[in-house]
Amino acid sequence: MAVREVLRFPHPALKTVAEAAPLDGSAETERAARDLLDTMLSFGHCVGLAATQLGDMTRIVAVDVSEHPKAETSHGLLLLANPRVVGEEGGEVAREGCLSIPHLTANVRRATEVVVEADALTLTDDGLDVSDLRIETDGFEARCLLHEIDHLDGVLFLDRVDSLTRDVFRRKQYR
Amino acid sequence: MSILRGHFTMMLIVSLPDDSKREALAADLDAVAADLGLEALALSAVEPRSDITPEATHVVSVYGVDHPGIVHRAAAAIAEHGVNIVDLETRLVEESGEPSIYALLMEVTLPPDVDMAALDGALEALASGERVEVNLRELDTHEL
Repeated sequence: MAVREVLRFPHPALKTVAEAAPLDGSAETERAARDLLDTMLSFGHCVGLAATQLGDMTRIVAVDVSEHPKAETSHGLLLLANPRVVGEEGGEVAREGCLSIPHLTANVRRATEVVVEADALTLTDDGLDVSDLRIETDGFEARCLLHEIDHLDGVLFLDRVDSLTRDVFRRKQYR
Repeated sequence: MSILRGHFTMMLIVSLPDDSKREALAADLDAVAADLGLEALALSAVEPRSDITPEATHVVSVYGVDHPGIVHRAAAAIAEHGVNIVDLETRLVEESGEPSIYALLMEVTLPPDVDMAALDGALEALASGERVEVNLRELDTHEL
């Protein structure tokens, strides 16, 4: 188990574009993936986390909305290397929070349906299995994927709000 | 209406049916200000404007660790390229034990002959000079 500290803005790692994750048996990719998963699971309520939030500048995200009441579609635990949004449709504004900006939440407009391609990672006792994955999803899971993929490009929700007075909210408390 | 450093503030543009009512309005406002214990109240005449506010085409967002000069340098950087600020909002996020984050959002109109490369360069210089995040994007208008 390696639960890592989640970096907070203004840490520069959060505004840096991550590099493609090497998959040819890279020990570094496996370590980053394990740390990402361990850290995400250490926050019981966390539905997604990106490697850049831990300071690992590699394109890996973890998403799991299966326990979340807002999620109508769920593909369970997704540990994705080099995720790419290949299709987007619709648009909806909804409230988002982020462990890297823990004191604020914001209304962000995002696509309601997405198609994502990625190298799906499965952690095993003796390494890392990699397989091609293409998922079509919608609603809350789509939003989570887009939010986490934004992190890999150094984009935070503050880069996406339309109004600081109408769309950004101070959190009274966060778990 | 806004809350600035904990002080409730608001600004209203009103039209009076005839200018002779102005003194009566001022007296009424002063009475209300005294009653509510307001710190400042001013009534000033403004010229009616018939020209319509230019429509914003883009949004510039700027945010980073709070320090003096962010608004000044951001406004100066874009003014040099003929960019007009149509609306501007700011937000200070203070949290004990963490650096205060200042955010500035400007709705702007780009001049028709804007040199995008030069403007992008000015925004990059602003970002590195002030150590803030700067983002220029087209204003999304969702036609329904």
